[in-house]
Amino acid sequence: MLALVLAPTTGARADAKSETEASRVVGKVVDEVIAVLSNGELDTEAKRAAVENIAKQNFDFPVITRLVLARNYKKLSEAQRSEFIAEFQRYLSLTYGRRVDSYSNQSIEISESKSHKNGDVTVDTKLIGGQVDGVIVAYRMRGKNGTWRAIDVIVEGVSMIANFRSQIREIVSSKGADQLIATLREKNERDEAAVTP
Amino acid sequence: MRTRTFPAAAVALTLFLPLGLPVPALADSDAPDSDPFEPLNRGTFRFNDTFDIWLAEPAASGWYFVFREPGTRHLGYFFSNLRFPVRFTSTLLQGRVRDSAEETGRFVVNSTVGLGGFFDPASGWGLKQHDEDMGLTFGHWGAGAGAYLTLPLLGPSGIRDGPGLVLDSALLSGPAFINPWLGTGLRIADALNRRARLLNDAEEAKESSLDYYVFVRNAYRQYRDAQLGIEGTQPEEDPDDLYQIDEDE
Repeated sequence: MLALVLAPTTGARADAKSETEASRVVGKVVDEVIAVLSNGELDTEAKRAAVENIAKQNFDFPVITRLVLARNYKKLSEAQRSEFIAEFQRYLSLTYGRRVDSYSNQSIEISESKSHKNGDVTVDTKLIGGQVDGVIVAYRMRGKNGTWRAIDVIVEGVSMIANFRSQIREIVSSKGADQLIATLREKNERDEAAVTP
Repeated sequence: MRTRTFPAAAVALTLFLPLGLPVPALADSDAPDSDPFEPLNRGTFRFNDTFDIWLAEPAASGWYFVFREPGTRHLGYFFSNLRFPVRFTSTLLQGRVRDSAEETGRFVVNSTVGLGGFFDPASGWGLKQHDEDMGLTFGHWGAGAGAYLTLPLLGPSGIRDGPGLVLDSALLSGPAFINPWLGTGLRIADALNRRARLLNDAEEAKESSLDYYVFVRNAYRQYRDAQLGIEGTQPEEDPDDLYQIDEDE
Protein backbone atom coordinates (compact mmCIF):
# COMPACT_ATOMS: atom_id res chain seq x y z
CA MET A 1 0.00 0.00 0.00
CA LEU A 2 2.77 2.37 0.99
CA ALA A 3 4.67 1.39 -2.15
CA LEU A 4 1.67 2.32 -4.30
CA VAL A 5 1.46 5.73 -2.70
CA LEU A 6 5.18 6.39 -2.97
CA ALA A 7 5.83 5.01 -6.49
CA PRO A 8 4.06 7.68 -8.58
CA THR A 9 5.63 10.59 -6.76
CA THR A 10 9.15 9.19 -6.90
CA GLY A 11 8.53 8.46 -10.57
CA ALA A 12 7.52 12.04 -11.23
CA ARG A 13 10.38 13.40 -9.19
CA ALA A 14 12.86 11.17 -10.98
CA ASP A 15 11.46 12.37 -14.32
CA ALA A 16 11.80 15.99 -13.34
CA LYS A 17 15.36 15.42 -12.20
CA SER A 18 16.27 13.65 -15.46
CA GLU A 19 14.65 16.39 -17.51
CA THR A 20 16.59 19.06 -15.67
CA GLU A 21 19.85 17.21 -16.12
CA ALA A 22 19.24 16.41 -19.79
CA SER A 23 18.27 20.02 -20.50
CA ARG A 24 21.38 21.20 -18.71
CA VAL A 25 23.57 19.01 -20.90
CA VAL A 26 21.88 20.22 -24.08
CA GLY A 27 22.31 23.82 -22.96
CA LYS A 28 25.96 23.25 -22.21
CA VAL A 29 26.63 21.62 -25.57
CA VAL A 30 24.75 24.35 -27.43
CA ASP A 31 26.84 27.00 -25.68
CA GLU A 32 30.08 25.17 -26.51
CA VAL A 33 29.15 24.77 -30.17
CA ILE A 34 28.08 28.39 -30.57
CA ALA A 35 31.31 29.51 -28.92
CA VAL A 36 33.27 27.56 -31.52
CA LEU A 37 31.17 28.69 -34.49
CA SER A 38 31.32 32.35 -33.57
CA ASN A 39 35.04 32.28 -32.87
CA GLY A 40 36.47 34.46 -35.61
CA GLU A 41 40.01 33.28 -34.97
CA LEU A 42 39.38 29.69 -36.02
CA ASP A 43 39.42 28.68 -39.66
CA THR A 44 36.84 26.30 -41.13
CA GLU A 45 38.90 23.19 -40.58
CA ALA A 46 39.64 24.06 -36.96
CA LYS A 47 35.96 24.78 -36.33
CA ARG A 48 34.94 21.51 -37.93
CA ALA A 49 37.42 19.56 -35.83
CA ALA A 50 36.31 21.29 -32.64
CA VAL A 51 32.62 20.65 -33.31
CA GLU A 52 33.39 17.03 -34.19
CA ASN A 53 35.07 16.66 -30.82
CA ILE A 54 32.10 18.08 -28.99
CA ALA A 55 29.83 15.74 -30.96
CA LYS A 56 31.94 12.68 -30.12
CA GLN A 57 31.62 13.42 -26.43
CA ASN A 58 27.93 14.19 -26.46
CA PHE A 59 26.41 11.81 -28.99
CA ASP A 60 26.28 8.12 -28.18
CA PHE A 61 27.61 6.78 -31.50
CA PRO A 62 27.51 3.06 -30.65
CA VAL A 63 23.83 3.34 -29.75
CA ILE A 64 23.09 5.49 -32.78
CA THR A 65 24.76 2.96 -35.07
CA ARG A 66 22.73 0.10 -33.59
CA LEU A 67 19.52 2.10 -33.92
CA VAL A 68 20.00 3.02 -37.58
CA LEU A 69 20.84 -0.55 -38.49
CA ALA A 70 17.95 -2.00 -36.47
CA ARG A 71 17.20 -5.55 -37.61
CA ASN A 72 19.94 -5.31 -40.20
CA TYR A 73 22.50 -5.36 -37.43
CA LYS A 74 22.00 -9.10 -37.13
CA LYS A 75 22.48 -9.53 -40.86
CA LEU A 76 25.93 -8.01 -40.81
CA SER A 77 29.02 -10.05 -40.01
CA GLU A 78 31.48 -8.85 -37.36
CA ALA A 79 33.75 -7.46 -40.04
CA GLN A 80 30.90 -5.68 -41.78
CA ARG A 81 29.71 -4.18 -38.52
CA SER A 82 33.02 -2.62 -37.65
CA GLU A 83 33.42 -1.35 -41.21
CA PHE A 84 29.94 0.13 -41.09
CA ILE A 85 30.51 1.84 -37.74
CA ALA A 86 33.74 3.42 -38.95
CA GLU A 87 32.29 4.60 -42.26
CA PHE A 88 29.04 5.83 -40.71
CA GLN A 89 30.83 7.90 -38.10
CA ARG A 90 33.05 9.40 -40.77
CA TYR A 91 29.95 10.09 -42.85
CA LEU A 92 28.15 11.90 -40.02
CA SER A 93 31.21 13.93 -39.20
CA LEU A 94 31.70 15.00 -42.83
CA THR A 95 28.03 15.70 -43.47
CA TYR A 96 27.37 17.82 -40.42
CA GLY A 97 30.87 19.24 -40.31
CA ARG A 98 30.23 20.85 -43.69
CA ARG A 99 27.63 23.04 -42.09
CA VAL A 100 29.95 24.97 -39.79
CA ASP A 101 30.31 27.61 -42.46
CA SER A 102 26.63 28.35 -42.67
CA TYR A 103 26.42 29.69 -39.13
CA SER A 104 25.58 33.37 -39.04
CA ASN A 105 24.90 34.44 -35.49
CA GLN A 106 21.72 32.54 -34.93
CA SER A 107 20.91 31.83 -31.33
CA ILE A 108 19.33 28.76 -29.81
CA GLU A 109 16.67 28.72 -27.14
CA ILE A 110 16.16 25.65 -24.96
CA SER A 111 12.47 25.10 -24.39
CA GLU A 112 10.51 22.10 -23.14
CA SER A 113 11.64 18.66 -22.23
CA LYS A 114 9.64 15.45 -22.11
CA SER A 115 10.32 12.13 -20.42
CA HIS A 116 9.71 8.84 -22.20
CA LYS A 117 8.66 5.49 -20.77
CA ASN A 118 12.10 4.02 -21.19
CA GLY A 119 13.82 6.84 -19.33
CA ASP A 120 14.95 8.86 -22.34
CA VAL A 121 14.34 12.60 -22.31
CA THR A 122 13.62 14.68 -25.40
CA VAL A 123 14.77 18.29 -25.08
CA ASP A 124 13.31 20.86 -27.50
CA THR A 125 15.38 23.72 -28.80
CA LYS A 126 14.32 26.56 -31.07
CA LEU A 127 16.54 28.23 -33.63
CA ILE A 128 16.32 31.99 -33.71
CA GLY A 129 17.41 34.19 -36.56
CA GLY A 130 18.32 33.79 -40.21
CA GLN A 131 16.52 31.58 -42.66
CA VAL A 132 15.95 28.90 -40.03
CA ASP A 133 14.11 31.19 -37.63
CA GLY A 134 11.52 29.35 -35.58
CA VAL A 135 12.64 25.85 -36.50
CA ILE A 136 12.33 23.36 -33.64
CA VAL A 137 15.23 20.96 -33.24
CA ALA A 138 14.77 18.33 -30.54
CA TYR A 139 17.43 16.07 -29.04
CA ARG A 140 16.55 12.72 -27.59
CA MET A 141 18.87 12.12 -24.66
CA ARG A 142 19.65 8.82 -23.03
CA GLY A 143 21.23 8.66 -19.57
CA LYS A 144 23.77 5.95 -18.81
CA ASN A 145 25.40 5.97 -15.40
CA GLY A 146 24.50 9.58 -14.89
CA THR A 147 25.92 10.76 -18.22
CA TRP A 148 23.40 12.06 -20.74
CA ARG A 149 24.15 11.75 -24.45
CA ALA A 150 22.08 12.40 -27.54
CA ILE A 151 20.81 9.43 -29.49
CA ASP A 152 18.62 11.25 -32.04
CA VAL A 153 18.03 14.66 -33.57
CA ILE A 154 14.44 15.45 -34.50
CA VAL A 155 13.93 18.43 -36.80
CA GLU A 156 10.34 19.71 -36.99
CA GLY A 157 9.07 16.25 -36.11
CA VAL A 158 11.38 14.35 -38.48
CA SER A 159 13.66 11.92 -36.64
CA MET A 160 17.08 11.52 -38.19
CA ILE A 161 17.37 7.99 -36.82
CA ALA A 162 14.10 6.97 -38.45
CA ASN A 163 15.11 8.61 -41.70
CA PHE A 164 18.54 6.99 -41.87
CA ARG A 165 17.05 3.70 -40.84
CA SER A 166 14.65 3.74 -43.77
CA GLN A 167 17.40 4.68 -46.23
CA ILE A 168 19.65 1.92 -44.89
CA ARG A 169 16.89 -0.64 -44.89
CA GLU A 170 16.10 0.13 -48.52
CA ILE A 171 19.72 -0.19 -49.62
CA VAL A 172 20.36 -3.40 -47.68
CA SER A 173 17.20 -5.08 -48.94
CA SER A 174 17.71 -4.12 -52.57
CA LYS A 175 21.49 -4.20 -52.90
CA GLY A 176 22.90 -5.87 -49.81
CA ALA A 177 25.06 -4.91 -46.84
CA ASP A 178 28.31 -4.75 -48.80
CA GLN A 179 26.80 -2.21 -51.17
CA LEU A 180 25.66 -0.12 -48.20
CA ILE A 181 29.20 0.01 -46.87
CA ALA A 182 30.58 0.70 -50.33
CA THR A 183 28.12 3.56 -50.86
CA LEU A 184 29.13 5.10 -47.55
CA ARG A 185 32.80 4.71 -48.32
CA GLU A 186 32.50 6.30 -51.79
CA LYS A 187 30.57 9.20 -50.35
CA ASN A 188 33.12 9.72 -47.62
CA GLU A 189 36.03 9.65 -50.03
CA ARG A 190 34.31 12.18 -52.31
CA ASP A 191 33.47 14.46 -49.40
CA GLU A 192 36.96 14.30 -47.92
CA ALA A 193 38.47 15.15 -51.28
CA ALA A 194 36.18 18.17 -51.47
CA VAL A 195 37.23 19.38 -48.04
CA THR A 196 41.00 19.09 -48.43
CA PRO A 197 42.22 21.91 -50.71
CA MET B 1 -2.76 7.56 -30.11
CA ARG B 2 -5.00 7.98 -33.09
CA THR B 3 -7.39 5.23 -34.03
CA ARG B 4 -8.05 4.87 -37.70
CA THR B 5 -11.78 4.96 -38.11
CA PHE B 6 -11.65 4.23 -41.79
CA PRO B 7 -8.83 3.57 -44.22
CA ALA B 8 -7.45 6.16 -46.56
CA ALA B 9 -8.83 4.17 -49.45
CA ALA B 10 -12.31 5.22 -48.43
CA VAL B 11 -11.42 8.88 -48.79
CA ALA B 12 -9.57 8.26 -52.02
CA LEU B 13 -12.45 6.27 -53.46
CA THR B 14 -14.85 9.18 -53.17
CA LEU B 15 -12.49 11.31 -55.19
CA PHE B 16 -10.66 8.86 -57.45
CA LEU B 17 -13.52 6.64 -58.59
CA PRO B 18 -15.02 9.27 -60.85
CA LEU B 19 -11.67 9.37 -62.59
CA GLY B 20 -11.75 5.61 -63.03
CA LEU B 21 -8.39 5.09 -61.32
CA PRO B 22 -7.86 1.73 -59.62
CA VAL B 23 -7.44 1.94 -55.87
CA PRO B 24 -5.93 -1.33 -54.65
CA ALA B 25 -6.70 -2.57 -51.16
CA LEU B 26 -3.78 -1.13 -49.23
CA ALA B 27 -3.69 -2.62 -45.79
CA ASP B 28 -0.41 -1.36 -44.39
CA SER B 29 0.12 1.64 -46.64
CA ASP B 30 -0.08 4.07 -43.74
CA ALA B 31 3.34 3.01 -42.50
CA PRO B 32 6.05 5.59 -43.33
CA ASP B 33 8.17 3.15 -45.32
CA SER B 34 5.37 1.46 -47.20
CA ASP B 35 5.62 2.23 -50.91
CA PRO B 36 3.53 -0.07 -53.11
CA PHE B 37 4.02 2.15 -56.15
CA GLU B 38 7.76 2.53 -55.68
CA PRO B 39 8.93 1.92 -59.28
CA LEU B 40 6.40 4.43 -60.60
CA ASN B 41 7.25 6.89 -57.83
CA ARG B 42 10.99 6.64 -58.45
CA GLY B 43 10.37 7.37 -62.11
CA THR B 44 8.35 10.47 -61.35
CA PHE B 45 10.96 11.47 -58.79
CA ARG B 46 13.71 11.29 -61.41
CA PHE B 47 11.61 13.43 -63.72
CA ASN B 48 11.01 15.98 -60.96
CA ASP B 49 14.70 16.03 -60.14
CA THR B 50 15.63 16.66 -63.77
CA PHE B 51 13.08 19.47 -63.94
CA ASP B 52 14.51 20.88 -60.74
CA ILE B 53 18.14 20.73 -61.85
CA TRP B 54 17.51 22.29 -65.25
CA LEU B 55 14.65 24.70 -64.61
CA ALA B 56 13.43 25.22 -61.06
CA GLU B 57 16.77 25.53 -59.26
CA PRO B 58 18.39 27.97 -61.70
CA ALA B 59 15.24 30.08 -61.75
CA ALA B 60 15.07 30.03 -57.95
CA SER B 61 18.74 31.01 -57.74
CA GLY B 62 18.01 33.98 -59.94
CA TRP B 63 15.03 34.83 -57.77
CA TYR B 64 17.18 34.68 -54.63
CA PHE B 65 19.86 36.79 -56.29
CA VAL B 66 17.26 39.52 -56.78
CA PHE B 67 15.32 39.32 -53.56
CA ARG B 68 17.89 37.93 -51.06
CA GLU B 69 17.15 37.14 -47.44
CA PRO B 70 14.81 39.88 -46.22
CA GLY B 71 13.09 40.04 -49.62
CA THR B 72 12.31 36.34 -49.88
CA ARG B 73 11.22 36.28 -46.26
CA HIS B 74 8.66 39.06 -46.79
CA LEU B 75 7.50 37.51 -50.02
CA GLY B 76 7.06 34.37 -47.97
CA TYR B 77 4.79 36.23 -45.55
CA PHE B 78 2.86 37.63 -48.52
CA PHE B 79 2.21 34.22 -50.09
CA SER B 80 1.50 32.67 -46.74
CA ASN B 81 -1.14 35.33 -46.11
CA LEU B 82 -2.79 34.43 -49.41
CA ARG B 83 -3.16 30.85 -48.21
CA PHE B 84 -5.63 32.00 -45.59
CA PRO B 85 -8.64 30.32 -47.29
CA VAL B 86 -6.96 26.91 -46.98
CA ARG B 87 -6.03 27.31 -43.31
CA PHE B 88 -9.40 28.84 -42.45
CA THR B 89 -11.47 26.13 -44.16
CA SER B 90 -9.29 23.34 -42.82
CA THR B 91 -9.40 24.46 -39.19
CA LEU B 92 -13.13 25.04 -39.44
CA LEU B 93 -13.77 21.59 -40.93
CA GLN B 94 -11.72 20.10 -38.11
CA GLY B 95 -14.04 21.73 -35.63
CA ARG B 96 -11.35 24.11 -34.38
CA VAL B 97 -13.49 27.23 -34.34
CA ARG B 98 -11.16 29.27 -32.17
CA ASP B 99 -8.20 28.50 -34.43
CA SER B 100 -10.16 29.49 -37.52
CA ALA B 101 -11.07 32.75 -35.79
CA GLU B 102 -7.41 33.27 -34.98
CA GLU B 103 -6.55 32.70 -38.65
CA THR B 104 -9.17 35.27 -39.64
CA GLY B 105 -7.68 37.74 -37.21
CA ARG B 106 -4.22 37.11 -38.66
CA PHE B 107 -5.48 37.66 -42.18
CA VAL B 108 -7.16 40.94 -41.33
CA VAL B 109 -4.24 42.30 -39.31
CA ASN B 110 -1.52 41.23 -41.70
CA SER B 111 -3.38 42.41 -44.79
CA THR B 112 -3.92 45.85 -43.32
CA VAL B 113 -1.32 46.68 -40.69
CA GLY B 114 0.99 44.18 -42.37
CA LEU B 115 0.85 46.13 -45.63
CA GLY B 116 -0.83 43.66 -47.93
CA GLY B 117 0.59 40.68 -46.10
CA PHE B 118 4.28 41.45 -46.59
CA PHE B 119 4.70 41.82 -42.84
CA ASP B 120 3.51 39.70 -39.98
CA PRO B 121 2.53 41.92 -37.06
CA ALA B 122 -0.15 39.39 -36.08
CA SER B 123 2.44 36.96 -34.71
CA GLY B 124 3.85 39.66 -32.49
CA TRP B 125 0.35 40.27 -31.18
CA GLY B 126 0.03 36.64 -30.11
CA LEU B 127 -2.05 35.38 -33.05
CA LYS B 128 -0.52 32.04 -33.99
CA GLN B 129 -0.54 30.53 -37.46
CA HIS B 130 -2.08 27.07 -37.81
CA ASP B 131 -0.48 25.28 -40.75
CA GLU B 132 -3.47 23.21 -41.76
CA ASP B 133 -4.60 21.97 -45.15
CA MET B 134 -7.26 19.64 -46.51
CA GLY B 135 -4.96 16.60 -46.43
CA LEU B 136 -4.48 17.11 -42.70
CA THR B 137 -8.22 17.63 -42.36
CA PHE B 138 -8.83 14.20 -43.90
CA GLY B 139 -6.24 12.89 -41.46
CA HIS B 140 -8.08 14.40 -38.51
CA TRP B 141 -11.27 12.80 -39.74
CA GLY B 142 -9.52 9.43 -39.48
CA ALA B 143 -7.96 8.84 -42.89
CA GLY B 144 -4.54 7.24 -42.76
CA ALA B 145 -1.83 8.55 -45.05
CA GLY B 146 -2.41 5.78 -47.59
CA ALA B 147 0.03 4.74 -50.28
CA TYR B 148 2.92 7.09 -50.97
CA LEU B 149 2.73 8.92 -54.28
CA THR B 150 5.28 11.15 -55.97
CA LEU B 151 3.35 13.72 -57.95
CA PRO B 152 4.77 15.31 -61.11
CA LEU B 153 6.35 18.65 -60.17
CA LEU B 154 4.50 18.77 -56.87
CA GLY B 155 6.67 16.14 -55.26
CA PRO B 156 5.90 13.91 -52.27
CA SER B 157 2.25 13.26 -51.56
CA GLY B 158 -0.07 10.29 -51.17
CA ILE B 159 -3.51 8.82 -51.52
CA ARG B 160 -4.84 11.06 -48.77
CA ASP B 161 -2.79 14.19 -49.37
CA GLY B 162 -3.17 14.20 -53.16
CA PRO B 163 -6.92 14.88 -53.18
CA GLY B 164 -6.21 17.29 -50.32
CA LEU B 165 -3.99 19.28 -52.66
CA VAL B 166 -6.74 19.37 -55.27
CA LEU B 167 -9.16 20.84 -52.74
CA ASP B 168 -6.54 23.30 -51.48
CA SER B 169 -6.03 24.43 -55.04
CA ALA B 170 -9.74 25.01 -55.48
CA LEU B 171 -9.82 27.07 -52.29
CA LEU B 172 -6.91 29.17 -53.54
CA SER B 173 -8.32 29.98 -56.93
CA GLY B 174 -9.71 33.32 -55.78
CA PRO B 175 -7.16 35.47 -57.62
CA ALA B 176 -7.90 33.52 -60.79
CA PHE B 177 -11.41 34.97 -60.83
CA ILE B 178 -9.87 38.40 -61.11
CA ASN B 179 -7.56 37.35 -63.91
CA PRO B 180 -6.39 33.83 -64.82
CA TRP B 181 -2.86 35.05 -65.49
CA LEU B 182 -2.78 36.59 -62.02
CA GLY B 183 -3.76 33.29 -60.47
CA THR B 184 -1.12 31.31 -62.34
CA GLY B 185 1.52 34.00 -61.91
CA LEU B 186 1.05 34.04 -58.16
CA ARG B 187 1.36 30.27 -57.94
CA ILE B 188 4.58 30.26 -59.92
CA ALA B 189 6.00 33.13 -57.90
CA ASP B 190 5.09 31.35 -54.66
CA ALA B 191 6.80 28.16 -55.85
CA LEU B 192 9.91 30.07 -56.92
CA ASN B 193 10.09 31.90 -53.64
CA ARG B 194 9.78 28.69 -51.64
CA ARG B 195 12.40 26.99 -53.76
CA ALA B 196 14.68 29.99 -53.32
CA ARG B 197 14.43 29.82 -49.54
CA LEU B 198 15.36 26.13 -49.68
CA LEU B 199 18.33 26.34 -52.03
CA ASN B 200 20.99 25.36 -49.51
CA ASP B 201 18.88 22.87 -47.61
CA ALA B 202 17.81 21.01 -50.72
CA GLU B 203 21.36 20.77 -51.96
CA GLU B 204 22.56 19.58 -48.56
CA ALA B 205 19.86 16.93 -48.37
CA LYS B 206 20.65 15.65 -51.84
CA GLU B 207 24.40 15.63 -51.23
CA SER B 208 24.28 13.98 -47.87
CA SER B 209 21.58 11.36 -48.28
CA LEU B 210 22.41 7.76 -49.12
CA ASP B 211 19.21 7.35 -51.11
CA TYR B 212 17.67 10.74 -51.85
CA TYR B 213 14.34 9.28 -52.94
CA VAL B 214 13.92 7.40 -49.64
CA PHE B 215 15.14 10.43 -47.69
CA VAL B 216 12.35 12.57 -49.20
CA ARG B 217 9.70 9.88 -48.82
CA ASN B 218 10.51 9.19 -45.19
CA ALA B 219 10.97 12.86 -44.23
CA TYR B 220 7.66 13.79 -45.88
CA ARG B 221 5.76 10.98 -44.15
CA GLN B 222 7.28 11.76 -40.76
CA TYR B 223 6.55 15.45 -41.19
CA ARG B 224 2.89 14.86 -42.06
CA ASP B 225 2.53 12.45 -39.14
CA ALA B 226 4.09 15.03 -36.84
CA GLN B 227 1.64 17.67 -38.08
CA LEU B 228 -1.17 15.31 -37.16
CA GLY B 229 0.37 14.64 -33.77
CA ILE B 230 1.14 11.03 -34.64
CA GLU B 231 4.34 9.74 -33.12
CA GLY B 232 6.31 6.66 -33.90
CA THR B 233 6.92 4.62 -37.00
CA GLN B 234 4.16 2.02 -37.00
CA PRO B 235 0.68 2.54 -35.58
CA GLU B 236 0.68 -0.78 -33.75
CA GLU B 237 4.13 -0.40 -32.26
CA ASP B 238 5.02 1.65 -29.27
CA PRO B 239 6.75 4.82 -30.58
CA ASP B 240 9.56 4.13 -28.14
CA ASP B 241 10.33 0.93 -30.07
CA LEU B 242 12.23 3.02 -32.57
CA TYR B 243 14.75 3.49 -29.81
CA GLN B 244 14.91 -0.07 -28.47
CA ILE B 245 18.00 -2.06 -29.21
CA ASP B 246 17.25 -5.73 -29.83
CA GLU B 247 19.36 -7.37 -27.20
CA ASP B 248 18.62 -10.93 -28.29
CA GLU B 249 21.50 -12.01 -30.49
